[in-house]
Amino acid sequence: MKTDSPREKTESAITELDRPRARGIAAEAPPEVPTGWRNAWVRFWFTPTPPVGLHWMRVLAGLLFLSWLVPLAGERTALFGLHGWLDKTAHIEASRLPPGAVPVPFGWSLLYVEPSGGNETLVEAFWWGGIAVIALFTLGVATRITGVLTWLVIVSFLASPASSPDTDYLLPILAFYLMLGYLLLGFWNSRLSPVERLLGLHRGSVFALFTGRRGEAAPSYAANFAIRLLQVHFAIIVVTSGLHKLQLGDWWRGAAYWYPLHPPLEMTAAKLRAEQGAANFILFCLSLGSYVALAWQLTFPLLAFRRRLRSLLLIGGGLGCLGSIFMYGELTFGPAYAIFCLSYLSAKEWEWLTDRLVRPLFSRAGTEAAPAMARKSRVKATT
Amino acid sequence: MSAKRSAPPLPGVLIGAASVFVGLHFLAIGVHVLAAPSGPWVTPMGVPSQATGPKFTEKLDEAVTTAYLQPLHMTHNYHFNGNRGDTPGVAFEVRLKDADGQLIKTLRFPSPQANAWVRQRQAMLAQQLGDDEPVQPLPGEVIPAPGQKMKKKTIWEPVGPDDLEMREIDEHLVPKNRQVFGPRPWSLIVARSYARYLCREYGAASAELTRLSRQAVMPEILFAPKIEDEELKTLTTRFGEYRHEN
Repeated sequence: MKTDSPREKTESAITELDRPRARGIAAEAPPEVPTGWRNAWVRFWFTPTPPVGLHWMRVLAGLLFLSWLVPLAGERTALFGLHGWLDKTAHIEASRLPPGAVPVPFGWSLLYVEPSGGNETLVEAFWWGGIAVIALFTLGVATRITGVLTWLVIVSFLASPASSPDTDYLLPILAFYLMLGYLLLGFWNSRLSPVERLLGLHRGSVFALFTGRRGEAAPSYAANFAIRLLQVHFAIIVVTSGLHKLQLGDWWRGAAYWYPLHPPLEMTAAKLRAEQGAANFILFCLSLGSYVALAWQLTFPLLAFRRRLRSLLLIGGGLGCLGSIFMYGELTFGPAYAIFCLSYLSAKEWEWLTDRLVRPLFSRAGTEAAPAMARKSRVKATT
Repeated sequence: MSAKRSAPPLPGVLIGAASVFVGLHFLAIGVHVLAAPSGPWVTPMGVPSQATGPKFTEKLDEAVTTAYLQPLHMTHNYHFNGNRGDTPGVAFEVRLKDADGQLIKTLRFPSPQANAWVRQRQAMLAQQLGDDEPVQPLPGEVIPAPGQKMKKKTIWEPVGPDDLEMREIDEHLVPKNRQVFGPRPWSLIVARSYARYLCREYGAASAELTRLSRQAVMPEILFAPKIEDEELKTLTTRFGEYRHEN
């Protein structure tokens, strides 16, 4: 609007002079956030975020699923077949036991089918097909379909008498929420081609994730929703486990970590005698460690949802992962725990990490490959 | 094909539906977690025992577990077994014999030859064999009903120092002068199934499964004036011989 009066002109001039500063202040001031529990709920669950975190979770979870299954390749029919360690007769006998008598909650499995070719043929086909599906999902190929299939594969392979109820039952949680995320990804905020509508976005593939430009992907409601489900579920797991520890005397007296470090069947009098000299120091360290772990678990929701405490969350997750592998010999639980902890990183933090850790590798590989390609093409041209 | 830079707002109906899903989903998980048994706590009887979950969660937990959590394979209550440190160490040995009773092979699990992942699975299988349950003797004198046989109980019977053997005895013969333990039905199912598997794999006529277990070593042992190997006793428990033709 045009200003004519001298007073208005003066005010307008001042405004013009102050505009850059005012603009700066406006840029620095936090945007007004609507308050109230309803708005907080909607903001938490339904804020669109770039799906970089979801893609990273998929890659890490996919690698975890593969590391859970591939080393068992030699024993696949023994572990998962109806003629293996737990055969059909045993499954029928177990189904007659009262509820709670079977410590491993089997549930349903696609491996229980006995086709005309025999269960071994099914297990073989399912095994290699399952590995391929998980690999494709990890790479980001047709994620809308491979996400669902990956979840089906993971829950089906839980049906083994040698499943670890502690470890293995974390995996379907990861697979389920990732499946939900990829089933819904892109439907609301992207214009999808019919192929993308069916198979999922190709922009989430590993190559697009690692070589694409920062902030390329459209913010997504589905990505935020899936990651939030993962985060809340894992917070419940950690706090519940912490409260369970408080029911046990060994945690109160700080001796809980003594036991995994002293497996009964591997202990000899000589080994224990060797520790006698430092008994007080060993028990001091173990008790301190167990109390630090307890404190971390019981304050987990604070660590998880406060950005300035993020480093404590990640350090705890990392130490938990190492402790689980080296103290308990759990090769899946620790990495799963670490991946769950990483789910609390924001999209910006994932972008920062990708920029520093992965994209330089790919761009370096690209720049190294480029001159070689150019040389090759020159050679071709001259010949 | 091209992505829009800003996401259009979600309609209220969609937000409402997703919120209901979130609420019910975590209600189911929360109820299942609350319904888990807790403890062991000290009881007025002096014997520590587990307490059941609160009553208000009982029926609700049954319903949500069957209808929702079981199909999703989310039935864990996050009271991890690994939190309990003092579980005994368990391994097992299987002696495979041919039709003439000649020893073909002795296998030990967890096997040092297996890779770490398979060894972990074998250790899990061994743990399934390790959890015994107390067998209660019947009070007073019991006589079976006319024409009926006495019920049987499977117990561990001591046959030597640190050596137990599985016996199936009439229910009224369960000793009353000592604490008696027996294998859990699930342990027996796993033991028989694994024996069948090994017989098939190695063409054996019979398999004899023996469990080797040792109680957890307590940290107080470090303050003992003397530690001898005899204090770390391995208990041998024989599940008996499984014959493949049976």
